[in-house]
Amino acid sequence: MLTTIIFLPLLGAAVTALMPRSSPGAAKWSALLFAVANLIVATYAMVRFDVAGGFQFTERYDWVREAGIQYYLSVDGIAMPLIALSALLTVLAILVSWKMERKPAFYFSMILLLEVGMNGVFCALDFVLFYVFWELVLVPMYFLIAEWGGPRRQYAAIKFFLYTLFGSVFMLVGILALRMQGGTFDMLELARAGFDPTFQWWVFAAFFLGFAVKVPVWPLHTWLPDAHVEAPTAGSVLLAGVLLKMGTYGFVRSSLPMLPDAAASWSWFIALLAAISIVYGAAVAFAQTDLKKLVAYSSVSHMGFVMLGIAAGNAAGINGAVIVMIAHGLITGMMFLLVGMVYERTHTRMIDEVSGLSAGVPVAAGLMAFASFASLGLPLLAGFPGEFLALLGAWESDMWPGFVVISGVGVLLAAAYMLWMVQRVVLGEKSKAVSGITDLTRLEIGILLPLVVLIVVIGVYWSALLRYVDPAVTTLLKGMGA
Amino acid sequence: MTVGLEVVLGLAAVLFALGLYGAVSKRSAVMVLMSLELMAGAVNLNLIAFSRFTTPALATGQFFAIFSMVVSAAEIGLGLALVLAIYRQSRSVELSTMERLKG
Amino acid sequence: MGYVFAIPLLPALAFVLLVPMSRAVRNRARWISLAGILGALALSIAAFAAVWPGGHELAEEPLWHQSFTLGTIGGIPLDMGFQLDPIAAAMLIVITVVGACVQIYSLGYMHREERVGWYFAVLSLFTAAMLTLVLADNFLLLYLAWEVMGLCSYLLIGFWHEREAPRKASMKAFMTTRVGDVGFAIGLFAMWNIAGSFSFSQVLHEHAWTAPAATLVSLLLLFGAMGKSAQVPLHVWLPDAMAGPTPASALIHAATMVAAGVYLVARAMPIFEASPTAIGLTLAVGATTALLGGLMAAVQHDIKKVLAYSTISQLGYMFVALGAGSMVAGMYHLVTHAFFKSLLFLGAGVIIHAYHTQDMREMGGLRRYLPWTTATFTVGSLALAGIFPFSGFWSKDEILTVLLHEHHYFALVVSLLAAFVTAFYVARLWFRVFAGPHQADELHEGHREMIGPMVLLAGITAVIGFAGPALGDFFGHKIPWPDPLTAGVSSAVALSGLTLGWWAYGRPNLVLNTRSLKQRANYAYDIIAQKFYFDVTYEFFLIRPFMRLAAWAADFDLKRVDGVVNGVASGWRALADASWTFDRRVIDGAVNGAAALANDLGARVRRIQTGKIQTYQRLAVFSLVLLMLWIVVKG
Repeated sequence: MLTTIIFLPLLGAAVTALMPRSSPGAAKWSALLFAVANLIVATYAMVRFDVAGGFQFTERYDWVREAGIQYYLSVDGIAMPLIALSALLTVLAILVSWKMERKPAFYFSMILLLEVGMNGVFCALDFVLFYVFWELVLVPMYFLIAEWGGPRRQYAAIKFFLYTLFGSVFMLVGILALRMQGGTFDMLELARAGFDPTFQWWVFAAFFLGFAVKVPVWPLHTWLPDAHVEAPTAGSVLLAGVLLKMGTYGFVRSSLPMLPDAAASWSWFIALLAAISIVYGAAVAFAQTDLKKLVAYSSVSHMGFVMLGIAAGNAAGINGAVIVMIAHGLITGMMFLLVGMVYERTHTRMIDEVSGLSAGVPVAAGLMAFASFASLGLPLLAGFPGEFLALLGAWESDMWPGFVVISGVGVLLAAAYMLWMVQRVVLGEKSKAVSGITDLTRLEIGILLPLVVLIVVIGVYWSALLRYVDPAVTTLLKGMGA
Repeated sequence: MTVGLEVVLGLAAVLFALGLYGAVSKRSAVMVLMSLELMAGAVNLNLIAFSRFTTPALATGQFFAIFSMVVSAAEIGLGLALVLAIYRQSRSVELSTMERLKG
Repeated sequence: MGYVFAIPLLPALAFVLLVPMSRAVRNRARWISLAGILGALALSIAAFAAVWPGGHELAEEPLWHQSFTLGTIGGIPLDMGFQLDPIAAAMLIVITVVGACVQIYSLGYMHREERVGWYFAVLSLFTAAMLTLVLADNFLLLYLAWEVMGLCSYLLIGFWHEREAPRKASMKAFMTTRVGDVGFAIGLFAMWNIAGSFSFSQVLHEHAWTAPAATLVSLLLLFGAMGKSAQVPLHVWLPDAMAGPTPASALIHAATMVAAGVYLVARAMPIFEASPTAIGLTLAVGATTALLGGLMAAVQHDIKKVLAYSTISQLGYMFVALGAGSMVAGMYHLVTHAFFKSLLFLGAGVIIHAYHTQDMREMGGLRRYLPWTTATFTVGSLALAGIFPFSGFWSKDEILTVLLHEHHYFALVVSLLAAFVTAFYVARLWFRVFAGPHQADELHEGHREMIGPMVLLAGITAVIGFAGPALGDFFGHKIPWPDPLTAGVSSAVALSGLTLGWWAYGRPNLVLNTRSLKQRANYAYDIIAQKFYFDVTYEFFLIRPFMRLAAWAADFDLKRVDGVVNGVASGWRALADASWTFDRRVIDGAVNGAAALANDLGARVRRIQTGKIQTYQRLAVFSLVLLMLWIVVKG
């Protein structure tokens, strides 16, 4: 099952890349076919997943026997929803690029290749395999930004690439150090190993650099706005929707269970950075004039909540962190999709130039308002449960309550920048750029609809996610306590 | 009368010499290819002859000759395809026109 | 009792039906919405009847309780559900009656609006949220509904978003209440941490609260309540919220949503009672708000803003009651206020339609043209002023009695002052609008569907006061008949306030000259007219600094944080340049030397390659012959 989830897109990428240039529609149809097939498999896996069953769908073979590297895939309740998220967003990313005419075969195969890497990271339980997929993600993303990006795409692509590579080098060192001490690349076995606290501290530091860049945590975040602004819509959606989660997933999957003592001693530092990220991201988002940058900085702020939940390190905190990961993927994905759709029509993303959408394009405006409210954490929408639980966990943990209060102010600021954006962009009189544009097409509404439904479902029925996540988190915490 | 090994080898040598002459002296690429076939035929004849006269029970040479013929058939096919391609380009099968192909 | 689920569900269903705004639905939006609220009303009456006659036991142990698990956190289930007890039942009636009145009224008031479908959709969502709030059996669900109401309030205030004022007001309302909500949320965290649950039964009845923990939780909850119920200093949003449609103001910003804070504190009374600090602060906040709100109402010229400040002041009264430890007095005033204040707002809507302005200085003489409105508005005004036998008299009197009994004499004096001011601005409003010469022609009375609800509300306002003791029993507490002393004093105060209002604004042939009054109290008047400088202070000390901080942070991010990154990058570039030079001169020198040698050799050898196939062949044959010769010679 997991092999299919990983390699179906790889096959798709190969097939799509080989589509003849003479029939430009072939590439997108083939990419869509494979992505939808993968979504079906992922959904099937999600349905078949036994929430009480711990790690499952295991596949385990020797890969490089001499070095103890295995082809070891398995998922638990934390990874499973993330895989489904990545499968869904890939389909939407392909659909939203339906009119892509520049090198379509290359483009769509890059998107599928990206999915290979993302799914691989979430499935892998062998550290080398994990690292391979982790690095694999960089390549298609680099091309997506550098080939189909905006005017400063070269700068943004290289910045993105180098930043993350910088981080992952440290991560590799950490992996090798764990191998030296623990004698295996098996991530579950390493979690049971119980290392010396000093050693843990150093490995945690290395992992922190690797993961924190990806999240991104202040002050390692500056690649994000550039990458988002320059990337094509599909790239932004996948970047914000899934790639950022790889960083926090890394914390949850490896740093916390393998290095629990270090996690405890680092937690105040992570909480501090999380609180700064939340407030700082919100403040910077408030001052932006470019819609995409605003959403990008809001991501910095929201990912801060994930880090806060991780710093809390208790059931509520980690549950909250994972739920924010999913919810942010859906909400920010939707936000970027909408910004992209509006940009296609108005040819500008400047907030001053786009205003009064509701008068001109009511459907787009309504959905944008919906996404904004979801983003600012309105109850009954997906943004709320995760942030609530993360803050609850942070309060319950023994960290300084001031961090919770500061982050609470961050919730307030989220409302400030989002509503101010809504006020200027969605409401008011039509601006010149908005007059004469057409409302969303059926296809575009169809792209956004699944996100709307999921955002409402997760917001209303918390159990939809918690039933997957909570047993896994409970197991994780039990392991950390031992 | 029995045909001895020497007779067959002699025939093969003659064929080979004819082929060699043709390959070196003909101007037309098609003729050169035919000459090459001639030489290959001579070699195959040798293979069969040695096999027949030294280890008749094993028939190794015969099999080898069949392989060799298949390979040379493929090779001649490829050669003719190349010649055809060149002909399309320059309306000529003269070897001299192919000098342009040098690196 | 499962039908209780349907009470919030019916309006919610109406909302879901209305939201896609398909053309077929849009024209029938009002009827769908109305069907939802009327269904909820019918079921609420049934629920109320089921709970009747209420009493103390039912308050402790709800008549009906149903919960389900929202999810588990570390294996601990997070339960939430609905419960029906006397407080909930009474609130259900208030919400559905006022809600139905407002929706019927809106049929007439909003019938020319283009987006009337959207209006009714949001109204339905609001009703559903408010009904959920009062039926919630735990603080978390209460909070969820609370926030959804905030959204509805935002959407309705900004209903005419093409204009700037409603747009700004809606954001201000959302942000200000959210300041309180953050406090509320942190209160929830603390509650979960201390009591291990959100449910009323666990938190309020089973957990034994002690002072420090109770103080922390109750102060945070109070902060949330202050935001929603527009208590000083978080009251600034409510006057601006009047930019929304008047019926929405009547429902949301007068009768129901703003009372949610009172409801929250009333619910959480066991926690507040464990903390003298918190309950004292509640009293102080309430008394301050009652007086300041009344004073600010007295200087407004916009008829809706007068009512808005009046609402703030009356909500302050409710907080005073809660702060005096009397949940029931607070709830009683909540109920009576909901009816008479929504009545006043609906009347104000008719007046605004008649005069096409909200400025009272441009109004007058309406009593001759709008008989129904005049009659009902007068009932509402007298109730607000606290004149026997209208509802406001009874509940206000109950609050004063409680203050007297609990020996909160300072608060008592402040409340009496506020009552005096209230009566004064009521008179000011009434005389300016209804008395004197009329200032426009063709003044129209409201439509039938607007007058009907007003008459109903006026009827309730006239008689509900007599139901006080019964309501007290229903809540399981005692509400006595007014005792002659406090009743006499409060009536005297109210009458003197009315008289002063008449003297200043209502005397026949009065040349309307408030300037002299202003001059006599110049300094004080300025302070009040500037709304005690709350808005200016916030603008200056919170909003501007935050804007500056945001701009600074954005700049910092671009120049400093990113600058470091780019600095590292350009440093790296410099290093790369240097090493490239080295590379070219030294390493490449060696490599290039080798390459040149190879090149040279190649140039010589390539002469052999002529391109003549037969030359190659000859060469091959020649080599072969040589090889053979060599073998022969060697062999």
